[in-house]
Amino acid sequence: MLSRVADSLFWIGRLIDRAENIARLADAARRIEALPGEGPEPNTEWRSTLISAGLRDSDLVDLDEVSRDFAVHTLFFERQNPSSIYNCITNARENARAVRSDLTQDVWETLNHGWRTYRDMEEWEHDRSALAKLIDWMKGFSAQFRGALNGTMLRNDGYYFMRLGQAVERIDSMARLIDVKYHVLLPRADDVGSPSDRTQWQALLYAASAQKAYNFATKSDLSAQGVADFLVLSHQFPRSIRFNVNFLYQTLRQLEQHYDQRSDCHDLVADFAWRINGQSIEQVIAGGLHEFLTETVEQNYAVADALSVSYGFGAPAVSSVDKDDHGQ
Amino acid sequence: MGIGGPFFDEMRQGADVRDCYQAVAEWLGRVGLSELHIKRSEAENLFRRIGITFAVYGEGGDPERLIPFDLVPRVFAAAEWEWIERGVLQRTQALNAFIGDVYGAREAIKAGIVPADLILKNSAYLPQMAGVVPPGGVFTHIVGTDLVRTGEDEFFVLEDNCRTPSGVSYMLENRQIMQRLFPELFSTGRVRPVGDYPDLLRQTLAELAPPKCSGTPTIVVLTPGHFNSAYYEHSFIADEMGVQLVVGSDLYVEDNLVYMRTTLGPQRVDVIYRRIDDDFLDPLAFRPDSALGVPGIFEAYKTGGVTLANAPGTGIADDKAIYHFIPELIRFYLGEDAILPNVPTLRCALEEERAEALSKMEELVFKEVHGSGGYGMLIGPKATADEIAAYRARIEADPADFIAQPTLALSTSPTLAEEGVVPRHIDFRPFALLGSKPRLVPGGLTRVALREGSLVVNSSQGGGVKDTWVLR
Repeated sequence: MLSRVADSLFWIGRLIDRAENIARLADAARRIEALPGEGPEPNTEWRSTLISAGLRDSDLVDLDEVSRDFAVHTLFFERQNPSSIYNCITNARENARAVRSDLTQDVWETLNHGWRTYRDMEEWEHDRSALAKLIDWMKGFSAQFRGALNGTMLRNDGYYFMRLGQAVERIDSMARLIDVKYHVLLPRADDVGSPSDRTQWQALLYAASAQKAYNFATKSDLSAQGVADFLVLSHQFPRSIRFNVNFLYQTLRQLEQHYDQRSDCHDLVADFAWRINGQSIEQVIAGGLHEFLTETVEQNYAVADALSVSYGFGAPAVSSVDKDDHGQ
Repeated sequence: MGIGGPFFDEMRQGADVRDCYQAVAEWLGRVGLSELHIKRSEAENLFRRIGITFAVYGEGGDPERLIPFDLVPRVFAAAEWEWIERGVLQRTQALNAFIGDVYGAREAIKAGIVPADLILKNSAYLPQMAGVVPPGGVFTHIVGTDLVRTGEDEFFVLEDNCRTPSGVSYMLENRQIMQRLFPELFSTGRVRPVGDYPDLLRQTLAELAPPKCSGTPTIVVLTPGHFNSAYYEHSFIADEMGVQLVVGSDLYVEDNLVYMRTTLGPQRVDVIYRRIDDDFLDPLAFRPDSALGVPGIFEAYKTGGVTLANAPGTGIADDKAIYHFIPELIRFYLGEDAILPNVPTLRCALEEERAEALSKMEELVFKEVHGSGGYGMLIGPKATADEIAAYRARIEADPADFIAQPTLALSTSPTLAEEGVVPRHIDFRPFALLGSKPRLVPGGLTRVALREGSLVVNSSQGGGVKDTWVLR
């Protein structure tokens, strides 16, 4: 497989998952703002959502002046926000177009049709009641995308590169989400156990799309440690950090088997999995959750880098040099 | 031949339906107009969903546009096709022989058939190619010959396309869409299939692997990238042949061999079906500012490390200044008379012919020698006095840049319009392949001028496409 193609596939996997994560974050904010009175001041939820979406240091956003409409626009349609759902879908589809012959017809048509549909939904932006529809559409779209992948792609290198992209993206977004919600927005220690604290835990679980899963899996009351344990170290929850680090490792092993060749970044990924699997939540918290999460994000970056070196991703995924027509 | 008609109607002669159109006429009589319109929008949705678009950047609006697809097929009878096939393959072989001659012994110049200056001072002549003999002596692996019809037995070659002719994806997709929308039309089995074109293309390319290739050649399609207007076609062809689609940066040259960068390291590439223009192919050999090409690939080509299809420099054969000589060149290289004639052409470079052309500008079509895509033309009968005067000034300033032809009464084919099925002018581009032997699939791209009375079929000028049937 061409290295450029592998790079594009990896990014398609990342971008669709990123778009879905953003829709899920927005879904949580939508639910929280609908809760009665006791919660934080209006728009706090949207502010923290923008931070979780990686916009803390963006020039686009003044965090003191965040309105719901602004947040929705920024997250869903803003062209200047590289991670807006609009840009994620457009870039995923552009990458897919560039590597079309390495995708099945189903996967391509899903992306192409989704891109066309989403462009037409822009007019919904100013309709407040349409936010839930937008979110539902996005979740449905990414489910359809994954379904097309699972149902039609050969289990070969192309498939594994997309899955690697998905794992890397999920680790990154979950680590950031927990970090933001847990440390930046959590009230002072003496608030713990208060009703507003409970709301915050719920908000975190919502944003991780984990509220019901948490109840099912843990059968216990909300607690700081319980939630952190679930989101970081659950074996069962498919969006937890541990789940995706192990998924990353397994997918790399499958790729290695497919190529019958050990990857140069094998040890790095194995170390990553070893570190996550080797700790209890008590140990993580004792060492500092923030430090743990920061290290996780950095290690995840290093893995993505190492993957690109091992498999020769040289050229940029979407090149801008060929905009002129020099061929027929 | 005149603009006022009468135009040859592909479907009817007077009140009678021509034999080869019986099935189409019967079908048009059976389905209602509203059903045709519904099916047309279904077809449009299919094209969009599959992504069969051409890209137009920088003009605003949706950058990805559809070429309008007309549902009513264009039909050739078996005998008509047999004639066209012989004519097209004859011309293809002569064009290839001419290119070999231009970059080789130059017999046609020595024999006084083509003036030396017209070749050696032609901007389409590539001096770097002098002395190069590609595998099998084939320069033009793929040729698209544009044909027009003006009567029952009157076909003319409008122009040749020997560089990187496009449109073959429409031949294949139009058929697939028609079969999907109207399966009953194909149930009699009289329409000859076109679907083996990709296999024939791959076979053609594999037959002409370079000397340094051992074993099964690795074939790739080289595209300028996914912003190119014909990107869809590039990716479609690669996919249909089952070969890799690459951009310039995927390839590199080492020791005059070409490699692609893969996840498992370098992999040798033997044959490149390139859809990049000569100028951009290799910054070391041609335009130094090209970011699309592969440095060193031309040297690898010359030394037998890789096959380029089509060869660089083939543009000399489809140049409009050379066009005039093709019938004579067919006689010269093949010892045969041209089966498909040229359109009578006046060359403004020659004083006598220029005078004749300028004396009746309102009757003629004027073209730039190096123009393409229907741009830069003047259609005399449709032009205003001011337009003619302005064009005359251009010709007088640079006469060698222009040719003039009679305004051809292009045949019409029934075409779906809002108000019903109406006659519209068409042309035709078959796609010939030249490997160890010449090949032609029974079909091609029929283009149709959708505007009433328009004679310009180019997609950039409001043209559409049709499925083309060749009957058994």
